Amino acid sequence: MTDVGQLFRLYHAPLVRMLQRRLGDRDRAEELAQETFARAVQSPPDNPRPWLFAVALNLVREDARRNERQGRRLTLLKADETTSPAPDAVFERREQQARVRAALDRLSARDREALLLKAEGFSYEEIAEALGLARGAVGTTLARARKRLVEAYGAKERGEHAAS
Amino acid sequence: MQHLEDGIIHALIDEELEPDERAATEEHLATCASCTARLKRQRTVTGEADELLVVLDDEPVAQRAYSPPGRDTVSHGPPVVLVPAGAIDAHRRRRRIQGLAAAAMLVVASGAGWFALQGPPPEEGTLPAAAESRVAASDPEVSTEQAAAPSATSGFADTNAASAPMETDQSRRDLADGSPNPRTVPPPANPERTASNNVPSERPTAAARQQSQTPAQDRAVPASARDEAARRERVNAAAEVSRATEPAPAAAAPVPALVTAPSSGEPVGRIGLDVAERMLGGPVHVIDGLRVSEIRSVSGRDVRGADRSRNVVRVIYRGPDGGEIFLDQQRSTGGDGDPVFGAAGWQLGTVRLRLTGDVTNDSLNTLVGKVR
Repeated sequence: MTDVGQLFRLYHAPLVRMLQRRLGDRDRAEELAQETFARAVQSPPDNPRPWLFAVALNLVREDARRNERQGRRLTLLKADETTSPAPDAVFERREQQARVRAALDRLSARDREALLLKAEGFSYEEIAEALGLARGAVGTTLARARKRLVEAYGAKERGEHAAS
Repeated sequence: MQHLEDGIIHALIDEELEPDERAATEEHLATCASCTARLKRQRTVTGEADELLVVLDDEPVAQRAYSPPGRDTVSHGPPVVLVPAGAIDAHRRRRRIQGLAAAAMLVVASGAGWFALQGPPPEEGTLPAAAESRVAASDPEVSTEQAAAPSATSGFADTNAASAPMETDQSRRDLADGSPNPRTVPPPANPERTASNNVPSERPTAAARQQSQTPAQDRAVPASARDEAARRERVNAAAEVSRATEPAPAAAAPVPALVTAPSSGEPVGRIGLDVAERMLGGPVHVIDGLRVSEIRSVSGRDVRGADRSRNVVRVIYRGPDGGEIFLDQQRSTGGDGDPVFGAAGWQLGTVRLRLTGDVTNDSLNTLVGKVR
């Protein structure tokens, strides 16, 4: 239990952050992180960091498949509209986050996951292990992911400016 | 000529190439303008992608300060003797001067209110003559040369000096974002730390920082009416800052979010191990046997010798006498320019490091050998 405790101390925060970036839902990110560590308790991994993140990403995919089957889509902006109006700065930030998330959704699952893992400081070796890629393919994957994210975000921004 | 693949270019950017691959790639870049231009563009794209991902972060995830298990404050060997240093980081000296200026402005603003009660209200935007002269007397102009040059009496050369009181951690945090030194403004009784955010109470915002930096400009006598109007505006703004930074009531204000450095977009302030690892692209280096007090992200512009476009991870150790040791770390770009931290730094893996602190050079050299 001490080992998992140490894993928790070291990796809980970055895991939640990665999940939150992926899902846009902090509560769900915390839940999936908890589930990930629960699985680590059941089967303590040899190489914990890539294992934990790979399991978390698998849980995200399962979550997405489950939600689609149930016909449920999480739209955070709509949920926010039911609460009291947010200050302009907060609203603007949320809009920007929605644009980034929409751009991220334009990437393939593999490209998106590689990008999120790299943002958490994973080495190419670790990304390859977590995603089941050849190490030599990680650079190409990231090159494509970064380019598409920036282009997709730029297109989204231009589209919104044109509309306004 | 065969050009570099995108995957190789990105592996170079991410410092993931094997030494022989890297050498071959750099050899190619030396003779291929097209690939050199692509590398530059891809670096920009990489930076933009990283910044977009940071936008997705709503609030800092619960940070836990890293403390290697089973290690005491000082382990094997004699305790580190903290004696005043001969030279300190010019950045710390500038911050202290800004803090003193901000503190003096507070005193003046308070005095202005007192004078208002004593007689006719001062003309809007001006301070009573006595207050102005106090400001001028307490905040001597410091030239860039003076700030940069090491001084025998600078820093902590005299630990009993009343004129240059030692900064506490709290004072440094306040100074870092330009708000008044807490020695003149008592902190709240119970600064709030929420369960989800261990970042201690920090005075926020670039706006407040900008406002608190105005006192230095107010000392000059304006030459024109337009300057006078601008000066009145700044004085009023400074007075607003002083009113806004009066001691808080018992219910402490919520902890504000980290500010970001304009040069890099990275968070500035206290950070956790995970954020530090992300910034460095790998593990954070620590001094074996010493307990980490704090890890901070500092703008590269504020650390001498650092790459100004990125932040520096600063691992802080505090000794029993209140002295500090900074282990500064920044990812090495491997470019043709001067290495990060110059000759004072050294490299471990892909990270450049430098050690400074309130210790003798001999002690620093000993500690360098303990960095892991």
